[in-house]
Amino acid sequence: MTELITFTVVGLAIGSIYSIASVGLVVTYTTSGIFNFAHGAIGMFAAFIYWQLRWDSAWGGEWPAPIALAFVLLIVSPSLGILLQAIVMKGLEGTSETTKLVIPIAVMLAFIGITNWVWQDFESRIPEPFFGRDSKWELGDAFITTHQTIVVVVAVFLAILLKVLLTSTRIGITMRAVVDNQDLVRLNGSNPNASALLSWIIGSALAGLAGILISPLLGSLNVLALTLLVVNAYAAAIFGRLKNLPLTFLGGIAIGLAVSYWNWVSGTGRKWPWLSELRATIPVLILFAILIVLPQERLRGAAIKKHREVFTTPTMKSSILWGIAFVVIISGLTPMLETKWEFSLSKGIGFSIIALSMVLLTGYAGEINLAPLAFAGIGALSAYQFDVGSTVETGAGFATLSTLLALLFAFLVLSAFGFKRKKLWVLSVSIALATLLLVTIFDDTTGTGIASRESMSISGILVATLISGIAGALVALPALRLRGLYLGLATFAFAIFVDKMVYKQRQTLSLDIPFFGDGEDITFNIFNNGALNMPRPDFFGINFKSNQSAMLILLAISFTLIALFLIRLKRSTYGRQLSAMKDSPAASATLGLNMLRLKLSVFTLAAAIAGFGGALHASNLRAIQEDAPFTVFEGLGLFMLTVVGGIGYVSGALIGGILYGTAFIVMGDFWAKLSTDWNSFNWLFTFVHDFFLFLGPAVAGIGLGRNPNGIASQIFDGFRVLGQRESRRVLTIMITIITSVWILRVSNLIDGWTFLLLSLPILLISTLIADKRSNLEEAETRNWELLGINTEISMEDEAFLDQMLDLGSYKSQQISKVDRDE
Amino acid sequence: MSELTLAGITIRFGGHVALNNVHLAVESNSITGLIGPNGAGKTTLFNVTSGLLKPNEGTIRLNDQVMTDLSPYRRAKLGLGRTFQRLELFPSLSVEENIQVAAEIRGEWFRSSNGASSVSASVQQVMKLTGLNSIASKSVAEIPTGKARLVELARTVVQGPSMLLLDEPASGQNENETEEFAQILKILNSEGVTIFLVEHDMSLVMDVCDKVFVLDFGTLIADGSTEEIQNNPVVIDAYLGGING
Ligand SMILES: Nc1ncnc2c1ncn2[C@@H]1O[C@H](COP(=O)(O)OP(=O)(O)OP(=O)(O)O)[C@@H](O)[C@H]1O
Ligand SMILES: [Mg+2]
Repeated sequence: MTELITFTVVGLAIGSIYSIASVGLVVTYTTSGIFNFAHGAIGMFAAFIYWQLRWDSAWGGEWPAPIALAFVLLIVSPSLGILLQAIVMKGLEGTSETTKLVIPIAVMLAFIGITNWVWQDFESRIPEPFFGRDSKWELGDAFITTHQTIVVVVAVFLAILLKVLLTSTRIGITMRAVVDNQDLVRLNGSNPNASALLSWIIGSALAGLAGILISPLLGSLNVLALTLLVVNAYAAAIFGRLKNLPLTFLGGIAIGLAVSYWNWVSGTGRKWPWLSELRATIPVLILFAILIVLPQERLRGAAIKKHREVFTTPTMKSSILWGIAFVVIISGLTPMLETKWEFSLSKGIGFSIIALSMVLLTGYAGEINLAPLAFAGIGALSAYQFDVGSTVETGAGFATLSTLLALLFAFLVLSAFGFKRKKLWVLSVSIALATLLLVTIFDDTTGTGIASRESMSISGILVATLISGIAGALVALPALRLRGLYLGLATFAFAIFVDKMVYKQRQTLSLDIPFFGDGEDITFNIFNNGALNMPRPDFFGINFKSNQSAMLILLAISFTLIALFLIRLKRSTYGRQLSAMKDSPAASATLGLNMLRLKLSVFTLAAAIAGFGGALHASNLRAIQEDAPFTVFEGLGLFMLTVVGGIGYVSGALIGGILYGTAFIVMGDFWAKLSTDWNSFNWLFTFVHDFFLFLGPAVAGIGLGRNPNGIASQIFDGFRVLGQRESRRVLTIMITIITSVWILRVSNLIDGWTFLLLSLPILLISTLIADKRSNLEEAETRNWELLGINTEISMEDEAFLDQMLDLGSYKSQQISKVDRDE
Repeated sequence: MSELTLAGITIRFGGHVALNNVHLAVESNSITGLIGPNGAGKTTLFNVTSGLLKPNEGTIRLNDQVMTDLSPYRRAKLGLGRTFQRLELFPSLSVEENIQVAAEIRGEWFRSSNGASSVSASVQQVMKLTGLNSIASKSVAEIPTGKARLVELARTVVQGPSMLLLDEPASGQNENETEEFAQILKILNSEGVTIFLVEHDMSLVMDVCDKVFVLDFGTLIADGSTEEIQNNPVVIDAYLGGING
């Protein structure tokens, strides 16, 4: 009885905090139509400020609780809300699902960056509960702390307050009306922006409150843990279907209780060691389950977008030329790059390979996956287990497993390629047999077990690719009917699950495969020490261990081959079907496209690419840790920067990966070098260095994430001009100059910096010159007054006019209204 | 013989009854019209028929096969094609690719052995019928609405459906285009395609239709030949009521 009371009270308290957070989330969502991914980060940020004011010895500190609370909740958080609405979130309605996700994700990363920057040192910051740790009262034999009591009371009070605000005040009613129909609200003389603003204020304040209330329950303040905790409120918000406040509130409480009771039943995770991390994943499991159970959205057509994506596909011939050029350039760079730089660049390209999986899935097929690095991590782990994991006790068992996986994988992927049934089987079985051949005959692994190798083998990478592909299918299978935000959240839940259950896993898992070996055939030690040392490859007679250049070139070639494969795919029947599914699910369905099969196939393939990239990437890094490089936050960062690069293009993946893995770090290095060179400006250069390091990606995301076509298309436009006939001369001159500069560099007459300083501007100037020359020829502009009179109106014109007249959002809202009402 | 039969179809959106116990049958090889004021439930009826919406009550048959519970893509396979009132083209694809992808999907249903060649042959044939050859490689986002309607028609025709649902195909077309469109419909019909046409352009309806159904506030209020409908007081009243109210 005492235990029941204790665990119930703990659950109620945590649940109340989830409720507060999730209600805030729902309020902003219903009025602005944006799912605020940054919600948790705002709470985290508020908790840090509150700690600073109350307890820091150096600055602030010693503020009385009520004043500090009032300051954070009534001044800081609301200001953040206003800033967000006024600068970042406004104007997002009517944009694509991807944009609506990317911008809040960028804001979240910005908050994490700022907090890491300001509270840099690893001091342990311990917030105290209200009225101290010893303030408690007795209920039966159980103790209830004052903090817990306050939390529950505040939550109930707020729920009632909000209910009154939304149903009985004028502004509240307007707030609820905004989402339903902005234009009507405007016609009625209310200002939809005002109520959106209010909802962001309320939302941020609630996030801040949740952050402050929950932080004492966690011990020392931790940026990522706090951010993720409020993420747990997502499940409650979805439970309330993002619109129903009472349901959301109850959902929060229920999740809190579920977590607490699980702790009770499992003896705080001691009873089933393998599941000891499960309590941290219960909310995301619930989130995943609710998303799947929730009544499905009706198939709908493409809403008119403010910024329509226009991804063009390059021809195969020019792609191959570009691919060769890329590998040649990278190889040409190796003689003049220091190993350190080669490593940075390899890291970027490693991420780029993983980002290619998002080009296929999100860019081509329009399906959002926020867990690219979870699949990459699964790939890296599988490769490790296959090649190094001395704990894998297996022989025929593993080979058989790989063969079956290959069969399943091939079947899943190929079934959407329109082969005849017989051919489908023949192909799948051949692929399976080829895998068997690779894994057994070409490897010295037949017999009693896989040797603990010093290097990563081709079959290891193959197995990694297969396993992550199947993992992709397993995640996709229940989520096949989800789209857009809901699919994003489901995959996000999966990423968190992998974070907790795999990377934080300290236990040993044993598997007994029936019919093979005796006893436990496979024993995994996943992350016993919180880190794994990944081996480098050692094939084609090249030792990649001692040769970073070779590793860089290997990565570049792998990237190019997969990129070419994707472009080829895009130009095939399969690719056209992906485009159709992305552009209009409703039309695809009525044209008889089996979208479930197609989605399963593309998910499997994309996850396999991520797994392949993950294995190579980890091998290049030589290690994976529980907190790098495959965590959920890094996944969000990579997703964001790939959108910035241009998620519809393989070159967008290259830009995204290099931005994420290389650019900001190299830029940081550059400023750090300056600050040592020019000591008097040390403070300035250090500031710029820190800015790039902590905030670079987030700022890029906020600034550039809105352009759905990404940087890649802009760069292409520049280069396309250079490729035209009229620009031949400019092109020749450019190549000549850059080649001579390169020769100077290789013969060591100039250093690396000079090479960069000379060649980059030449590249830029040549595109500009070529662009100018071609622009002179086609100085034709549209005459909108005569549209429809001397020219006919196209869909694009219509979309443009809608946007200019601000009708676009109206139309898309009409559709979403229809979906909601149903 | 009737090709498409709806029996007792009712659809509710919350409290709003969009279709109220609708019974209708479209004769094989006919061109049948469906008219009614704005919001009468015509598009909803097409959505139910093509499987994008599940009816609250009632059954749908195509050639005596019950398809009430079939997914949209299975209905397409049975020979049901449709176009959309609000255009649903694939803007990332060109005009030709829009048609090609539909032909390829059809190719997969039957997994025909001479896949590629038969696909391109049927695409060419349909493009010729609809006169889209001159803009084949254009992006569908750039073409005028009248042409876009033709692309949607071509896209479903290339699948060789036996039954076509066309939702206001003439809206956005100029007079010439509508005339050409009527010709295409007649050709298709002569080749054995049954056409079910929702249209506000009465001259088109009167020109091509053998029979017309009239829907108002989700209820079927009349049916008959084009002359009967034109002179039916109930119909005239519904339309005037629509205008006045
Ligand atoms: N998904 C939905 N949810 C709620 N109401 C809907 C939905 N779809 C349609 N309606 C309503 O059902 C009614 C019938 O709509 P429908 O689009 O079928 O009319 P229609 O006859 O096609 O009109 P129009 O001639 O304007 O195209 C309308 O009142 C519409 O608002
Ligand atoms: Mg309609």
